[in-house]
Amino acid sequence: MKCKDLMAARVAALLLVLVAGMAVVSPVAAQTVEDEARRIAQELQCPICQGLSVADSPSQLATEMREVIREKLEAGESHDQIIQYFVDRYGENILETPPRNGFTITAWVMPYVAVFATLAFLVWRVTRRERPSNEASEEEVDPQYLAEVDKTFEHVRDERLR
Amino acid sequence: MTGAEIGTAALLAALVAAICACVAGVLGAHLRDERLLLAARNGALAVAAMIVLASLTLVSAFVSHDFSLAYVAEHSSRAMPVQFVIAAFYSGQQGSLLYWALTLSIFGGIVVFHSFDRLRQLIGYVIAVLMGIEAFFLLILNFAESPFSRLPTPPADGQGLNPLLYDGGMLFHPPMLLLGYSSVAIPYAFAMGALIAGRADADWIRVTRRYSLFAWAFLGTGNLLGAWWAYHVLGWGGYWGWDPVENSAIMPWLALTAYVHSVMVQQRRGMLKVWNMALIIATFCLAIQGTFIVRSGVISSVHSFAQSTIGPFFFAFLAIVVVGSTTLLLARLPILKDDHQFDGLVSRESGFLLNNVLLVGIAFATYWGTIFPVLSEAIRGTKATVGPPFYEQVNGPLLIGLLILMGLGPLLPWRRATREQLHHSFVIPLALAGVGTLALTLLGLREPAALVALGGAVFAAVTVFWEYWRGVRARLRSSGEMPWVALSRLISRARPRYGGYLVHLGIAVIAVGIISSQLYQVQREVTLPIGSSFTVGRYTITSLGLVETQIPGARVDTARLQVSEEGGASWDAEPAKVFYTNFNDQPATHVAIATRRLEDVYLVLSGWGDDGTVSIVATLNPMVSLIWFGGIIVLLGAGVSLWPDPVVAPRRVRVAVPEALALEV
Repeated sequence: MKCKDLMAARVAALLLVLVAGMAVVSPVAAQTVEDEARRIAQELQCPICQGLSVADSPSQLATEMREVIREKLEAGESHDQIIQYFVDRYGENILETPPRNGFTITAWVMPYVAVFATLAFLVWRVTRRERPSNEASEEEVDPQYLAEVDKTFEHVRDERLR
Repeated sequence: MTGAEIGTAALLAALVAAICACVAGVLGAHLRDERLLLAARNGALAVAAMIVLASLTLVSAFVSHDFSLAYVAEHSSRAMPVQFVIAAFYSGQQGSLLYWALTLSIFGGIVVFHSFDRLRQLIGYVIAVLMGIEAFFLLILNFAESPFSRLPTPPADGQGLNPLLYDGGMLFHPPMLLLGYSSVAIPYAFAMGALIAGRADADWIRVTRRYSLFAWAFLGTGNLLGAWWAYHVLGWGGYWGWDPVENSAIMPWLALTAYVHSVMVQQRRGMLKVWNMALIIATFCLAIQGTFIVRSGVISSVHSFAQSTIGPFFFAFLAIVVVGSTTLLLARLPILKDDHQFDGLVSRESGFLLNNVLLVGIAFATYWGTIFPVLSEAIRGTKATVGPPFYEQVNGPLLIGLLILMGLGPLLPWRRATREQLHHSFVIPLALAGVGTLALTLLGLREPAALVALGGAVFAAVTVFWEYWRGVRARLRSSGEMPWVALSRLISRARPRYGGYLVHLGIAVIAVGIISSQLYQVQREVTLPIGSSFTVGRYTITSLGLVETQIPGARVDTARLQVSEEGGASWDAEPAKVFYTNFNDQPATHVAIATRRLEDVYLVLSGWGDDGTVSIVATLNPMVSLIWFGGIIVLLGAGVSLWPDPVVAPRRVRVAVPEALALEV
């Protein structure tokens, strides 16, 4: 019984860790100036288009902005410096994602708070309910009897498959 | 009588019939009056007939170029090919609302006719809810946005379609998606019928299983076709932009996906009753919201071709649906007691529950991101930008979790897993998935995110094959059939289950396509004088210059390029921009796409100079074709699940078999 609980907890924990661990999806490392420029352009919204990033917009302004990004990269500026350059000129809304500070951090946090709160609630409910029914049933049932029942069931299932 | 008069009269008659059927349904169910119930059923069929008549009238007005109708004049022209003239039916607001009402009335008519005798206690209420929804759409079509309103002086020719809509995608994507939205109303109506009638069993779920899957398949196909269309037409190298309209199309699909999974728990174990009700209510509200956002022009996006004033109608309707359904659900909480409790933390039930948490979580995150700019403006006065990277980073991990769960779930036993069971069913699939992931690292994949995500997809696929293999092996051992006979009998004995696994396989294939193209896309932007070339990946692209041609109603600028693959074939690519006469400021993009070894070479003409130089955006999209291919597998699986049972008798046996053994998922 204890062993099973532990197992269950382990599996649940593993799932949580897997999901949580992925929260930091790291983008594939850029190899060339072109790729790095595109990565930066994808983080910036085209100021004159509807819902297109600087990387994807065919507009003249976006094309010029991509050119600026490339020049700055070739001049040795870093990713953050270039982003900051555009934020200084166009304001925070040029960023495709809300900044991870101040009020806008709620945009990032809320979905995960909701998911993990729901999960915690469910785990609590399921484990809380599990105990009483378990103790009653487990102590009475003889494992050998269970094994026999299993065998019979296997048989019935094979029948059904036919 | 002119066509317009027939159409107007038919819409009015449909509205009257819908209201009558609604009243007759409620009274018939309440008084248990057979004749009133029959009247309600016939009323529903009459509504369908009237809406079909109105729709045919509109189609014939389009085909005969009757520009005295404002809607026809605004959305078609004489130069348009006939298939687009017919498709123009749903290209604007009035027409797509009519199409919505049409599909719901036909589907609703079929389901009401089909289940009239099976669910007598609640069918009256079901008809009432369906007809109430119909009445709302008919109200708009009659009094606010009639497709049959006339122009005082008919123009000689119509305005034609927006050039972005001149594409094969136009013929399939909108009707599929709208059909998906409208058919969600059917399980919703049955759920509400069950609530009103005070029935807590799973009969309504059983009767609507196929309709829910239909809605699911249509919504999914609609979304996927939209992605395919965007990929081929918009020319930015991607297929999904997390635009508000796209978000509102994917959210009902996510909620419905959660629903088609969690109802299995209710069917099987009599659990999650309240949750299933809440899910179908949410799905229907999201479907209405999706229809509304596309058609209301509330949010500006590339998809809103219509601007209108029906916003308040939809808000009112949505409010009635939300408040009404929630009140009803709360009032019926006492009878919605679950028959069983959760036996174990690790079980099929909790697998389904986790699936629901993740799917609803993704839907919520998407919703949150969509409304956040508005929320931010209301709270701090400045709009925040929430673009694709936000959704990718927030939803990505949840989607990967879902992918892994897709591998785990089908292997978990119902009720409670023992250690031996887990060991028995997990060791081989996990080992195979591990080998698959190892193979990926040997192929040169190093990024942890890509490995976990692709490993998850491999695991999900392995589980499908493993489950098929186990079933076939059991049949082979017990009956000595030929393997292919065993396979086909295995599937036909438990179609919902094995069809569902095929869907899982398709989703895993789609996931591989999405993950690869998201993480390994390469893009280059160059300006090429005639005769010069550049290299991207394994391809060398040479410009042969720019050609300008005239086609009826448009001017086409084409870049003539030659692409040669390193050590392989070479081909001509002709990306172009098309300037339609009536829409000169909105050139349409013709992307040149060639697929080589699952990699798309995606070429777009972005500009040109007077001296013949062309600006080209070249994108290499690995594995994108797997997304479309996976979509076909998903549809195939949905088809297997939906296929009607030829024999009814053996199904009865299933009731007698202990539930732990029944093979149906």
